Amino acid sequence: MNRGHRLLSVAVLSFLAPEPVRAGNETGVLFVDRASALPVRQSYEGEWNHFVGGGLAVLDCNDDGRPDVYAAGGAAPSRLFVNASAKGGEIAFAERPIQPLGAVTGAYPLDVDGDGHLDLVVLRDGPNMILRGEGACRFSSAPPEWTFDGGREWTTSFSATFEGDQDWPTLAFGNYVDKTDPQGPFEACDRNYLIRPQGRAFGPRIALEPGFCALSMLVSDWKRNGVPDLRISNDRQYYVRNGREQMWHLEPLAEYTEAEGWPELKLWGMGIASRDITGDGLPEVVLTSMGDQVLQFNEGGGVMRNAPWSVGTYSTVPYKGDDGRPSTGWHAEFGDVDNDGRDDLFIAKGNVDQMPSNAIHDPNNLLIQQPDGTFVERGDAAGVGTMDRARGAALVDLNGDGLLDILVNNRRAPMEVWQNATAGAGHWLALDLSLPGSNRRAVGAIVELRLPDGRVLTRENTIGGGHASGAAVPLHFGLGAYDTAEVRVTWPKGSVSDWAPVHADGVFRVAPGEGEGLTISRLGGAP
Amino acid sequence: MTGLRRILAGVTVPLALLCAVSSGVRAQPAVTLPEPLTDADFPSHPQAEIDLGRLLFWDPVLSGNRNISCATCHHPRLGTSDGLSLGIGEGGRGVGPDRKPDPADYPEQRIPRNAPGLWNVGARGFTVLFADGRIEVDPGRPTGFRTPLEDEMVSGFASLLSAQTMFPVLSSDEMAGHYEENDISTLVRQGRLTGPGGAWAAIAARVAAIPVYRQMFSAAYRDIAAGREIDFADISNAIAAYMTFDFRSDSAPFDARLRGERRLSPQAEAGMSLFYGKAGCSACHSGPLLTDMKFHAMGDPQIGPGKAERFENHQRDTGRMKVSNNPSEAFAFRTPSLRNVTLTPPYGHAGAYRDLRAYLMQHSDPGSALNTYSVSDAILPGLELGKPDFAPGDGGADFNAIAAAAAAAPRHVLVAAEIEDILAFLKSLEDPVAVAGGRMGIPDAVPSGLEIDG
Repeated sequence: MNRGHRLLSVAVLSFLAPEPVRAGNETGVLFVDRASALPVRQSYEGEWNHFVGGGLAVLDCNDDGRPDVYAAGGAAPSRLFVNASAKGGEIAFAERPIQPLGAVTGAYPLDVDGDGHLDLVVLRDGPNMILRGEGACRFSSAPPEWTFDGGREWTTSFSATFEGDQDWPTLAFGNYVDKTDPQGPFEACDRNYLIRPQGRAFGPRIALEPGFCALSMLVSDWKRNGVPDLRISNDRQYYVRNGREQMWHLEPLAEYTEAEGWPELKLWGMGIASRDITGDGLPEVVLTSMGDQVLQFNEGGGVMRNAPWSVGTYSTVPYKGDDGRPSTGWHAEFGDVDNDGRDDLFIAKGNVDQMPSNAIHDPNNLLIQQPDGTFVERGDAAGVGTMDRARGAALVDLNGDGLLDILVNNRRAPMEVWQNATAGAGHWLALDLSLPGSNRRAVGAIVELRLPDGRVLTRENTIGGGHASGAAVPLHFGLGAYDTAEVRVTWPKGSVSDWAPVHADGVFRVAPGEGEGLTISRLGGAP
Repeated sequence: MTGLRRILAGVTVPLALLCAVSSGVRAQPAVTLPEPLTDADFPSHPQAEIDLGRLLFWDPVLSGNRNISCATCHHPRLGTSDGLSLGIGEGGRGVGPDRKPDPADYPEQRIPRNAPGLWNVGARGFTVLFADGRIEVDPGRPTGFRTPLEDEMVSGFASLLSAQTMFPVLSSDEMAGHYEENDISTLVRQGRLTGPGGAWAAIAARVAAIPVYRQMFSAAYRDIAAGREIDFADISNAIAAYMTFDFRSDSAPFDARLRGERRLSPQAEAGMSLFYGKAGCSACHSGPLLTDMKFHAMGDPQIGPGKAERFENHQRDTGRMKVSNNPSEAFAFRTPSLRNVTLTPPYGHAGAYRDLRAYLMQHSDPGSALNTYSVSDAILPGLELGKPDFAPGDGGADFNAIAAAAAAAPRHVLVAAEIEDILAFLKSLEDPVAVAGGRMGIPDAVPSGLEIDG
């Protein structure tokens, strides 16, 4: 894209529009099909044990500033694709050998041992694995001294956090149906497990019971009180009656109860997206399901309330095509695809396999947030409204142009790569948090970006959620017409930095500075 | 196709001319009557296939819990329907208005739509099946038809009716049963339908394990005799062959009238003039099957659970729109055939009216009864349910939306005498074959040895 044109359009719009932040022309959101960037057909395959899952893990495993991707293949090969895109150029990938693993359902990147190389937690129908990153996109099995017990369950969700003064992360594994239960598969949900570190190794598995067929987990400081909790979204298709959406206190380990204000909610829960979209600093959540995709506003004090229908995110039935049955939602993720300073929402959709109750041809959603906070469907106009059985996905800038691209992993259909070609998008920046010692990616940090008009964009640095998919990449912000902003970080252990100025249109490493300061250094992007 | 063209073309018959020979006949305007049904309108099948299909139609072995057959809700003694507004499927015992929930296998909800009569469903002109047409001829699709499985649909079925026959066995409320009650219901709820591990294969394996059926399939299908395994499509083909043969209905007084053999009673002739004239009925109830195979929002009150999935809270039945995804088809339902309509109460897609006269009154003024409708007009067996049968609000069946959708429907306000004439005409659609319950009668037993709903 011609940068001069973009700036020109920003300036014109700023002049014409009453609201200065309104920079991107959202009706111009456009993606170009780059599926051919993948050197081989990649898809998520398999029988019933791969009706769910199909995740993508996005990480820069060779430190070249271009995110790479590990794609779960289920019964088919899971593969690592190294990003070969030139800056601002066409997205390109090359396959890189990685330890062959069967029955992979999903994967999440995180730096377990604090060596600065991202590792991969690989979820499977069978023993979960940690692949230790060695740099240059080489991975090896986690060494025995890590004492990681991957279990034998059918794992379908994951989240992680760094607790207290621990150098290593606490891992949460969510499991689906207990296939060994002779009374199953219904009302036969397996238990979930928490694994806490013991020094520079992992301790025994701690059962999280009851389990209700967890398809997404997310550790989040959702009340913004410095105490993260574990949210679990569960699939009623298999727990059937006695189950619910869960929230767990991590310390001491206990499930939230109705008595303390956690209302019973039953969903065909498939995925979690979390982001503050109302501007109050508290994260909203989207819980994907069958039919209604549920957006809950965070009202503070631990109260979540279903958004009104008019917000435009329910996406109950396909928005195009001639199949009027309810949709099936999987991965959901917020991201500002037009860099207008307002987060948009992508939802991967697709039939479980042959569920006649639900649409067989079910287009993915790209819901663009409007100035009034409502969302408008642009999946079709933007080109990304494909009809296959989508599962995992990622919104990530693959070619360093500051625009979020989209990856989609499909069951029984080829993986999709969509290059964002939106004309007239706004300014942006991306922040790569860094801590010395352990928790080097500052998981659990909360980043606030203050725009010149006073609006604050809040981002929590989490591991988990989505549908079997996670990304460990710089945090992307759209800035609209503004080319500067101020950043403040609440670090995982609670210390709060001062506001520090930051420029638009680049990727910056943000680390604690002297006192309450921040050290901000440019990694990439336009000079 | 030529048959269909012939049907659509119709012929104009000057009634007054035909009636002139008899004295005392009211003057009739000329009306356009369809051409009569002939053998060419029906596929023919070998007797061995029909005999096999008949036993399968009556055999509860096709249901997950082996407790319900096609005939249970499409009973020849009840006009190939069930005499209920909304039936009880799997989990009921007994037939028709005597059907009761089984306390040991209690139904989760009523079947959301009225069980249609099966008269002439095998006719070539029957191109849209189910009230919402989710199985239909559709030249716009690569396969030439629409089914709920879209491109996942298996091959091997011989007709649209056979394709339709493949689906009630997959419905948890109709025939499959729920959750892990049985192997079929478990596969269905998992979404495993096609292929060697799917629900259809599991049902076919049950049938194939019964020696009498193996012999009958070999007698009916040469390639099965030569060693091919029995597929579910073979089962549905045989049932479709049976229904085509046994539920063919073209020997009503109306058919004789179409063939020019006999005129109807004076009152029925008057009703026919209204039907094909100022009452506007034939605008939709056209052709010898008395349906245009199209969808119309006619403002019928909707009772029962609606077409809500288990993950939905509403009780709406938006009809065709749920299939087509086209908002202009909200609350539109396929025009039902009126063949033997007097034998198939209650009426309406949700069976809201037990009485045909009451149905006609509001049907002539679509949506007019929504404000005053009482569920006492329905016939509903006792069933303790979580949701009310009558829920007109916008969180339920949404009567306001039904009324809005019917606002554009034509109105033909009729006086009582005209309604009586039309009822007399509808009585002329009653076929002695249908009154007798078809041609073949109820079998004494079925090869599975299971009890039949005779």
